[in-house]
Amino acid sequence: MPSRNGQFHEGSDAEVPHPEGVRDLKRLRRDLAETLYREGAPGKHRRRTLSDLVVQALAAHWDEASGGIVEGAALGAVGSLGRGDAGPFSDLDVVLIHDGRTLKSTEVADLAQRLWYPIWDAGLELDYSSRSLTEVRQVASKDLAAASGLLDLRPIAGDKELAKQARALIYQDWRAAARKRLPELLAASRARAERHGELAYLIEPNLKESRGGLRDLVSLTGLSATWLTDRPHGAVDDAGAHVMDVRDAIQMHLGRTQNVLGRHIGEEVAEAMGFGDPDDLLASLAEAGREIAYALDMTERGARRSLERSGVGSRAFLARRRARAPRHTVVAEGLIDVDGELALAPGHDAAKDALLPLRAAATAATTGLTITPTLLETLQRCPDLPVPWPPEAREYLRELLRGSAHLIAVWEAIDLAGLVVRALPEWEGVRNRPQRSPIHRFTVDRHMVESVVLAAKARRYEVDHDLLRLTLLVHDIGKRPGATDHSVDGAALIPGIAARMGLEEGIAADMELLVRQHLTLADLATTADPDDPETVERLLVAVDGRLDLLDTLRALTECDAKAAGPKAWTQWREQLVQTLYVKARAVLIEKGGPTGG
Amino acid sequence: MKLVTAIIQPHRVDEVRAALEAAGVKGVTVSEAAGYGRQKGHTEVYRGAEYTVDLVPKTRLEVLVDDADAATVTEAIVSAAQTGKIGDGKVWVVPVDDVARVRTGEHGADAL
Repeated sequence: MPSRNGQFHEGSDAEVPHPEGVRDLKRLRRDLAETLYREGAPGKHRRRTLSDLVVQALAAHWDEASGGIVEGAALGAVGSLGRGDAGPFSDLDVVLIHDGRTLKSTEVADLAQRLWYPIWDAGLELDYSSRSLTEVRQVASKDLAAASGLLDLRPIAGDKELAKQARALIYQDWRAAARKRLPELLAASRARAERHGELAYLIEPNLKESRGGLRDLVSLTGLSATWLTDRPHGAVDDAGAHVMDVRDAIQMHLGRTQNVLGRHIGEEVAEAMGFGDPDDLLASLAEAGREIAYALDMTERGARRSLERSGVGSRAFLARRRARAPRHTVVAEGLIDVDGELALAPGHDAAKDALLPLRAAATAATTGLTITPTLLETLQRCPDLPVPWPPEAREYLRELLRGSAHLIAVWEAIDLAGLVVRALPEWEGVRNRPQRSPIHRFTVDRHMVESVVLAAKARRYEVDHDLLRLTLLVHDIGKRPGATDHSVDGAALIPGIAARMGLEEGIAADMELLVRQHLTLADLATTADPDDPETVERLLVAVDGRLDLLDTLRALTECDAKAAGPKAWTQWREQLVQTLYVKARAVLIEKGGPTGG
Repeated sequence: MKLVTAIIQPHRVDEVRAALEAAGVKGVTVSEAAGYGRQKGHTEVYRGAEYTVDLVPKTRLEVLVDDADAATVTEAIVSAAQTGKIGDGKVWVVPVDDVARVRTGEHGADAL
């Protein structure tokens, strides 16, 4: 056990050092955080300043605990502390590294005790490890979480050259094992998403663990550290900073480590963040989460492609590379397939092609090609569509909505690039809008897109499937802030949308009716007596006495409910809906009423 | 204390809830249920084909009440749920040894 002057001796009853360096750290960090908040310091500066305070305190603590060791052992910060973006109450992630030669193992153990106990005694949450240089590399090669944290290793005190050497070796090993690391990293991301859900769609999101959360942001850095691909910057960094700002606001409100934005603190955190409505805060988090998730997907794709092409030194891969030149195939006007990605054809002038965004989206959805970030940027420079839309634009939209297997990915890409709102300005009102009903699992906008995807499974209904998909895409468009009856409010928006798109009057009228009545079948089925002729009559009035609209409403009801979540479409509910639908259908057929508009 | 359980037609839930509130009942548990009674399900015709609906959707209500209130609550449910048709459902009452309110730890009638 080391004495206060840094000498070591055997035994477990050694004097515990007076924890001068960290004794008041908890209070000092909180006071500094409050001051920085009061002064309105930007989040990045605040986090950096707080991290620096902790690092300085830990350096002073090292000097006391080790007696000023500068050779053979070092203290390093890892994780968020290493990156300089720890929250005001975040755990202290530290590692004691030694070279395995200068200090005996008992001396290392004693030093560790003298380092960790005063930190615990000071009431700080500590995440620690103590490893030799060899052990650091071994752990980093086996434990993905540890490796991710160690990539951010920041020397604090002691033998800083040793810490730098450890960091360099970790990076070197990380790059060498890129082929193994990549699937591990992505599997971990998927497992987190499965366990914690997607940040963009949760009413109580876990800002760290959810898909699109802070761990995915770290994964981005991990991917780029493989040197297989670069990670995007700009929007995704802003998104990450916003999520961290919210996390910090949660911690400041609760006075402890917490990464979940619970419903019970929503209003206070929203106010601290300058949002008047907690739903606006959730919407901003949804945007940030989507941005991070999309960036991770794109970076992953880039890394995979790089692996496939280079084989990182593999002769077999190099041979394949020589054998296969990149494919460049024209897939639509102005668009080419470049090794599985959709890109702008050389010489095509996007600035003169208003149809290009919809054509690109339709092509991506029908072929499964990924729209490159460069093409997305180019699409933003395309002129607006003329009003009413030309027939080709409507056909591209129909093609896009038919591409159910790839629709979600394509929609995410074009929506994040601002292309959806440009074509459909009403989308802005429902974009990232949270739904507080427990049956809903998605935001309003994502729910509508999910319902369109489910239309592919409603083929048994003999209906106009393009009408069904188009209606599903906008069926909740009235769920905007301040809406009283979203069915009525949404229906009121349809004539404007239909006129802009240049839809035929009959189709526009059917869409308006279906949006207004999209809850009628489910409501009547669960709250009215299906044996009462009055109930059937109310349903028939709602669909204007038309069999085709009744069938479309039945399909729409199912897609809408299934997209909401499993609780919204139980066997119980389906049976009630089906019973009423069958009765109404029988009455219409008996009457011999109109079948189509 | 008694547990009053009712299986009723789904479309009578709102009426029954209103009747229970009028009878002073403060809380009720509602869940989806499916089953059959003497009617043994029924036959539906859809697109020309007959299919049998074996298990009919119902709604299950559960209410904990004081012994003295059990008859009143049962009557309120029966009156509100009744349409006079087959499949209106059932209500039954069983004794309850004890009840605990999780939040406060209260037991017995205090926890109702």
